[in-house]
This record gives sequence, structure tokens and C-alpha cells, in this order.
Amino acid sequence: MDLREYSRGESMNVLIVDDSSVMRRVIEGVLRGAGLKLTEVLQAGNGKEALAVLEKMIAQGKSADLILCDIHMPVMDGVGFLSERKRRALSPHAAVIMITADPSDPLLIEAAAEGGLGYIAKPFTSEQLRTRILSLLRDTAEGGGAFLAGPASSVRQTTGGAPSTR
Amino acid sequence: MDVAVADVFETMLARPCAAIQETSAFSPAFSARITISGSVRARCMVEFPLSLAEKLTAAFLGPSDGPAWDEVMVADTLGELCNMIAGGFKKRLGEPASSSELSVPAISRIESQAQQRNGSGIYAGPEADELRRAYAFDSDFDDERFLVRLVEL
Repeated sequence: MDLREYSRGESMNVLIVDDSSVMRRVIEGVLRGAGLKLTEVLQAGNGKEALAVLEKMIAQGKSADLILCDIHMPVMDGVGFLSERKRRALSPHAAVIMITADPSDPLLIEAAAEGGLGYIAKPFTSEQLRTRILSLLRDTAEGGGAFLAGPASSVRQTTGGAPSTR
Repeated sequence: MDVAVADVFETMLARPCAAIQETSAFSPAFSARITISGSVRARCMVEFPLSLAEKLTAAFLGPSDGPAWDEVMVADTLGELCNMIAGGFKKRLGEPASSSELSVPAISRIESQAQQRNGSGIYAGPEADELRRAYAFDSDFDDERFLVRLVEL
């Protein structure tokens, strides 16, 4: 999904991937409180579960529009998930935002190479998450490949470069 | 460290959290720890008494369906808190720390004073040369406080 579709009234299917059930709940609460148009919010505890969720969605004729994905998870981490998602072409048009408590995590670079469009650093407010999501949807509409730093930075870097930090 | 701690509470929970003086003995029920490895090597620990840990969990998740959030959710909450504090601290160290990595959180339930005293391989008692700070995040909780400890490895 891109910003044009969202602006026309389309609502989003969202997948939250994080090994912390607390953080999944917090993120869903933040999403719902951010005034975004949401159809469905699904959760997965690791990359392997997330792939299964995407496959099930496809079997139901649906796809994810937005994926919020932690980096460090057991069983399959965020980079592994993105790589496998790309290989299997599961919801390939979903906007992917990595979630991290460590904006200088070297794995963010690998995530960008595997299709992550940006990241948001914990802690974040509802407004910061909303701003990040809408800016990435705008980037998707513009056909951009910028890996955006989050949450409040306006600095943009080309895909594959080191993520900027606040 | 104070800024990293305050940032988490002010951003995620919209409430202040300030460092305070420790005036009494402290008996944690939970200890969450994260190891920073690479150019900077350290261990960051967050320690909470049970009632304050439950209150923190409710602050993040809202009231539980039952009398209190179960210990799995409480432990998860403390792990996430430790993760955000360690990440915020590392971010503020700047370039020397940027190539260092954070481990996943490890959370321990501290069952006894004996376990606290002898470490029992799980809970690490006070260490020499550690940075130890006490914090309070809600004045309604009277003397309840939590600790953040940072040890250089």
C-alpha cells in the first residue's frame, strides 16, 4: 500500500512481529490510538511465525500492507524473516518498518538490504509512530528506496547506507 | 543514564521518572539484564520489587483482567524496559559504542535473600565499580523504587 491508496480511504492490514508479547500489545495499542485506518492487526512472536501468518493471509486472499518488525528474535530474527519473505514473495508490497531499541544496530543495514524501508527507535510516542508510518507510505508512493531514520529525523539516506541516528 | 531512563518513561508512559537517593535497604524480586558487547563491554541491569514491577506492567498494558498481571508478562515488561534503557544509554555514548551490540534481555526472578547474597549464577549482587542509580516513576508509590545498575565488563 502507498500513501495514495491510504489517502483514498483504503485501510491497512498490519502485522506486528516481536518476541515480546508486551511490546506487541503496546504497539497495537499505539497503532489503534494513532488515528490510522486499520482493517486488521495481526501478531507474530518471531520471523517463522510471521511467515506463517503471511501465508495464511494469502490463502485468505489478503495481504499485509504494513509490517512492524523487531530485529532480534529467537527462532528467526528480523533479517531472516525479511530475507525469506522476499524469497517467497509474501506480501511483497508491504511497507516494512524495523523496530529497535538500538538505532546503531548493525543489523539495520542488513534489514534495509532485505527490504526494510525504515526503522523506528524505542521508546516512541503514538504520534512518532504515526508520522513514521505515513512518511514511509509517502516514500512508497514516490517509488523511493530511502531507509529512513526514526522517529523524528528528517534525514534520509539511500538504501544500503548506514542508518542515521538521532 | 538518567536521561535514558527518563526518556523511556516520558515517551512511552507520559510520566516523569527521576533519580532519587536510596535511603533504605532494597530487595528486588526481578532482575533484567542486557549485555553490551563490542567496542564497549558492559552489563545493564534493571531491578524491581514485585509490587512496583506489577504497577509498571499495568502502566504499559493497562489493568489486568485478574487481580494482577502474571509473572510472565511482568518479566517481559522488565525485559523491554531494560532493553530500551540499555539502547538509550548506548545511543548516547556516541561513536565509540555504535558498533557494539545489545544482547536479548535475560530476566531472573529472585526468590530469596540467600540467592541475592551468593549470586547463585543468576542474580548478580552489588559489584565493585558499578554505576548504581535508584529511580522513582510515580509519587503515589511512596518509597517504591527500582534500580538501574551498569557494570563495565
